[in-house]
Parts: sequence; C-alpha cells; structure tokens
Amino acid sequence: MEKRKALDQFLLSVQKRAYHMARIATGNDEDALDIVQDTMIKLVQKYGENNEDEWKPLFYRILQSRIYDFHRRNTVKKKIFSWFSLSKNDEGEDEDPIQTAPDTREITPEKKLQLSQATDQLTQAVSQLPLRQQQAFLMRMWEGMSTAETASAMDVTEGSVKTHYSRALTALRNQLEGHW
Amino acid sequence: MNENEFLDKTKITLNQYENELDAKTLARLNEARYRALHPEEVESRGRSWFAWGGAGSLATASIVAAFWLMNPVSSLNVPGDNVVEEYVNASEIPLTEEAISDEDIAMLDNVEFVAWLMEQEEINAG
Repeated sequence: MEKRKALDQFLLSVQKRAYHMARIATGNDEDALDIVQDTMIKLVQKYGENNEDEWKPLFYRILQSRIYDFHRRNTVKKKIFSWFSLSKNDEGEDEDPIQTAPDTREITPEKKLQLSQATDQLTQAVSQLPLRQQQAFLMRMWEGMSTAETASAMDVTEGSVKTHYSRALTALRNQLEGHW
Repeated sequence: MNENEFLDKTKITLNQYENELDAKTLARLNEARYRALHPEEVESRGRSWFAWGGAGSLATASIVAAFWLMNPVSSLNVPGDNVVEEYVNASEIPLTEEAISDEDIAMLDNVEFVAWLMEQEEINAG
C-alpha cells in the first residue's frame, strides 16, 4: 500500500514532463499519451518493487524506448507509403495522402495564443533536433538527470550523452539566441 | 547571452510549457496513472461488465423460457385435417378464388380465430 502511494507520487511528479517529452518527440498528442501510459504500466508492472531511487532512470529508459519504437514503426510506415507513392506516381495517379496530410506539428492559432513566443520557438527548435540530442538535452537540462542516469536511460555511454548534449546545446543556441 | 544564462532561460521556458497543459490532457494523464496503479480494478471492471452481460442474457433467456412454458404454442391444424376445412366443406360454399374475398382469405389465415368463431356459433346454436 505504501509502495503504491509512493509510486503514485512518483508518477504524478513525472507525468507532465514525460508527456511533453513524448509530445516533442512524436509531434502528436495521442501518440504522446499512449507512450506515457505504456511507460507507466510497464514501470509499475516490472519495476514497482524496485528501490524508489531506481524509478526515475527506469521510467525514462522505458519512455525513451517507447519513443524509439514509435519512430521505428513510423520509419517502416513511411518506407511502405513512399514505395506506394513512387509506384502510384509512375502510373500518374493521385498523390500519397500521407504526404499531403497536414503536419501535426504545426501549431494552430489557438495553441499559439496559449504558448508564449519563447516557448513556441524553443519547443519548435527542440523538436527539430535529432532524437538522441533531443533526449540527452531534455533529460540532462530539464529533468536534471546526471550524465550517468541519462546514459542508463538512453542505453548509451556517458561519453555519448556528453556529445549529444553538447551538440544539442550548440544547435539551440545558434538557432535561438538571435531571437530571444 | 552566455551558456548559463541561456540554460536558465531554457529551463524557465520549459517549466512554463510544462504547466500549460489543458485540463483534458491532464485528466487523461491522471487516468493513465490510475490504470497503471490499479490494473486489477480496470480488469475487474471489464469482467463485471462481462458478468452483467452474461447475467442479462441468462435472465432474458429465463423469461422467454417461462413465457413459452406458460403459453405453449398450440399445434396448427394442417389442411385436410382441420376444423376450418370441415366447416367450409359442411357449409357447401364453393371455395374458389373468385368466391372468396381478400378479407375472407385473411380471416382464413387466422385458423385459431376461425376455430373459436365456429365454437361460438355451435354454442349459440346449441
């Protein structure tokens, strides 16, 4: 019972950030919610009995793994659809609907009102970073995880985390400093 | 802006972004958390719906069975072996398509009603 209460508190403390990370990485609200829910379920099922100190890196490790899975599936989908698109274009048929579908990353006027200009620019810039850089940057800078914890969550070496983080920071500064 | 200033501003901006969640998304996140922490309740809720569905079907089936037992369907008289045909033969009315109207055909279709009508006539005559 105590453990469940502690888990509830932990999940409550990370759910918003996890959702935003997934939202930035996927560009889609529904996918982000699915990823966060899967992550929570997996953490509780597999690691609920672990020490509380271990939850955070484990949670982010599962989250990043789910985000990778999402991108892997999307890459396969894109390949399949691009193949269909090529064969259709060869025959002079209609365009691929996936190509012409609206970009979900586009921020609607309503959302634009909600988000300040700075937030808007920052999230756009972070979402354009390569996935590894995005993860390293958000976990290190936003979540305040150590290099070792981030490396464990990303399943890479600490050196790799440092490289990704440094590149992300440079890219963001180049992109944003003139506008901020 | 030096690196630390940039990082501070980034952190403040991201924290602001974190708190700009709409109520609907927040509710869904809370629901996801609840599902993760109470899988047995989510499962049993699913099971209880299934159980209620099963109980409902069983209750409906019992009512239908009871109704059927209390009101057994009387066997229909087949042509040549029924009272209607005997009545028609006895009345010596030529049973041709021209001789009977659509209303008569409709009434003859309702064998039980005709049999009851005949019984009433017999009682009245007797």
